[in-house]
Amino acid sequence: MTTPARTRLRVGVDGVRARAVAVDSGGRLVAVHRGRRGDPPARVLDALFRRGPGMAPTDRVVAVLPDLTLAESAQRARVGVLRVGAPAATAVPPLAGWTAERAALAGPVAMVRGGHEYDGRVSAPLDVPAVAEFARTCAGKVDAIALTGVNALENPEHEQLAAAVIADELGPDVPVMRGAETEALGLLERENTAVLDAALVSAARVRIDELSAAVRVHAPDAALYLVRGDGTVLPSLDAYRHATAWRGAALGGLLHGAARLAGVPSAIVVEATAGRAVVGTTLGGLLPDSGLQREIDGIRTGLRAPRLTVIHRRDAGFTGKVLAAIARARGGRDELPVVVVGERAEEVPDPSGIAAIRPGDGDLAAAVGAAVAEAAGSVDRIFWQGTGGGQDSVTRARMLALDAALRAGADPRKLRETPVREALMTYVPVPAARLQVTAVGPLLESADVAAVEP
Amino acid sequence: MEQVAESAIDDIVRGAVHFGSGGGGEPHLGRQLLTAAVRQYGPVPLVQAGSLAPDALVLPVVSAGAPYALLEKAHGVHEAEALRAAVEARAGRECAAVLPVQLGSANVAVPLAVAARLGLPCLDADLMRRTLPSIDMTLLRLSGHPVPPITLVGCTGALVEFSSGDGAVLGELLRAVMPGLGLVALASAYEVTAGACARLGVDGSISDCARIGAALGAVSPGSEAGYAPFLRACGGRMLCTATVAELVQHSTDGWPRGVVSLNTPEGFARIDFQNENLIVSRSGTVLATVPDLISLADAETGSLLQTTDLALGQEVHVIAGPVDDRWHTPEGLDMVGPRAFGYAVDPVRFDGTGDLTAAGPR
Repeated sequence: MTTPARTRLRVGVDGVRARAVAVDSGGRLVAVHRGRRGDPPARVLDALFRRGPGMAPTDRVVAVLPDLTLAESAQRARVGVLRVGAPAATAVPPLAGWTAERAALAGPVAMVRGGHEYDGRVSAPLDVPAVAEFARTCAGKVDAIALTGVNALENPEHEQLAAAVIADELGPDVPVMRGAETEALGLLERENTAVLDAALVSAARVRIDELSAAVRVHAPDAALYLVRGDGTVLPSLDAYRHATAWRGAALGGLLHGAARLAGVPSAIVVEATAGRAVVGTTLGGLLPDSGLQREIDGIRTGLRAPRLTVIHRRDAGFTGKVLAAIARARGGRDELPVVVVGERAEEVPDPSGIAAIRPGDGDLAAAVGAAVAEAAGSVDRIFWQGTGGGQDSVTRARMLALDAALRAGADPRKLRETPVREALMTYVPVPAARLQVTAVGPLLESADVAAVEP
Repeated sequence: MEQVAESAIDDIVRGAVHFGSGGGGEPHLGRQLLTAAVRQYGPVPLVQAGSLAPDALVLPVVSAGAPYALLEKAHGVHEAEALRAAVEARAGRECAAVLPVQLGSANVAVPLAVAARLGLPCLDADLMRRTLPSIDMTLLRLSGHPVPPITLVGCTGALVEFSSGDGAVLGELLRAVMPGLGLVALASAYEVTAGACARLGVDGSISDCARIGAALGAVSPGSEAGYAPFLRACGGRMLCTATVAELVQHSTDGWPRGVVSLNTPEGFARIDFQNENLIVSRSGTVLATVPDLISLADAETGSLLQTTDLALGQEVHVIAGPVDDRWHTPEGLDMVGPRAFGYAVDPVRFDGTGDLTAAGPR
């Protein structure tokens, strides 16, 4: 039997700005470490634990890690790329628009018969022998596989089957990244994401293992999460496989954390540093849809990018541009407070008619954002509405988003949802629509687990 | 412009988005598709209709399908050969060049990629001078040329032909077979010669896209004044700067009807759209209507947007631009004016002037 602890700590690590904080269940800061920019995240975490002797049990560590890029070639994995869907989509082969230099990171590239239609029916039967043949040509030549199926969000069957065939041939040591693991409309978008995730899998493992070792030393029972680009959490086991998903975490975490430090649920956030100012928005724990897709090293991915305006201090009219960016970010939402953080926060004047909030520990914003980060799940795909009508598909989309949020660790009793965004099919009037919805909520409290006597 | 090399693709596809009037597909896929074809087969030669033998058969090509569906399931490599074979078998002779049917990001990229694959030149021309939602809405049909035969090729080998019939009925039939084809097909229509294209006078379409796309690339976002290069190139004007307040679509028996509500410093504005933007109005005054072009540019990046992809709170510039004058004749407006799309509104040109020809009883 264990006795329930009175409070549990959540540790947030900002691996970019070298800050770490411990926050109690009531949201109070109980320990802070300010390292030097460039300190490895594991060292920053280590220093926090050493600073707070006798800290209450820590049940989670949530970290902002620096972006991984393909340029880190030392750890770049060789990737085999398989697309399931031929004869459809063959006019745009995998990596078609990549530069030759980047395409060189890929091992064998193939398109095999298979895939589905928009409504989930089989478009062409899966060519299993061709999948196995592709896997054999990859043996010994690749470190990871990226596998993407046409309409695999609507029906993942061929993607899953092909993944199993590849695993049979190559064994468990070659990770297979499936396109449908990324919830995004667009075959190329999901495929590119899977290729980048596969190429970065070794580098991600090194980064996460370093951090994970530090967590085990000080808080062996704590769960480890990374911060996603949208500021919500990514369980570390998923983070190994999705290095692109934590791209941009330094700003995603900062936006939520700055609002939290200011004590407001939603805000326009400005981070002012020696070199630049960045302006973004957080609304009720989510970064508002921007209509922008995240490009990584010039490659379009399936990740949604928040709208962030970066103004460089060397630009003429710096202050005016920052104020204009704030006005644009408000977009008519005049009630939104403005929160300014960063080492040069005092240099950003109040926008006209608004007293900006400048929280005292503004440099800790991203670390606090990590410590209190929530779990979210999103859906963005085409739903066939032929049977059951639009309402059925809206319900299905909401359920899928809730499920995804639960898988990310959200407490099912505390979920919030965005309205379902519906875009109807243009040019071909059929009952199908693109539905987008996100569910978000605080992480489920870990329960004390009693040992069962055999 | 004599050929489309890889270095020209960005400008051409970006410029084609202007002719999409808020529709026609997001440019990323078209850019990738054309890049793949040019890397594999080399630059695509562009030709003027008058430089070919007058009786030379040309191959009109259009990507038929929903843009969202195309994002999931792009065209297959075999569709181009199958389409050409079907058209040549019916005509009993070979095609000399590919002819784009309309201008839009997908529908400039696809015909050029098809030409590359077939080893044919592409006419520097098109039949609509913008994106319109139906294959029968062309200047060629406006001039009296019949729409059929229509040919559709699906990715798994299905071939559909409509050999005769009225244009509007055929448009309906064409859309009716699309679900069976998975919402994506490569299509052709109109039995047309190079001489007919030359007489129609539709040269310069791809060059226009390249020129306007280059000007769009030279826009400095952040102020309305930064759009001067683009406005000069397309001959259009900036109507207003606004933030997106609401976007709704209603399904109907035909195309969905949508409305974008915009907050502008001068009051509420709205854009009525179906597949493309059709009418922009502010405080009850119509500022511009189809057949002229109504585009939305993202205020921060300067790139032109697909209306269905707008985000709430997004700041946009509303820009209207002219189209081919033939669409402003009474016959042209009957085919593609606001009333043809079901709106009881008189046409208003991009510069706010009315169409005198449309003033009579209708």
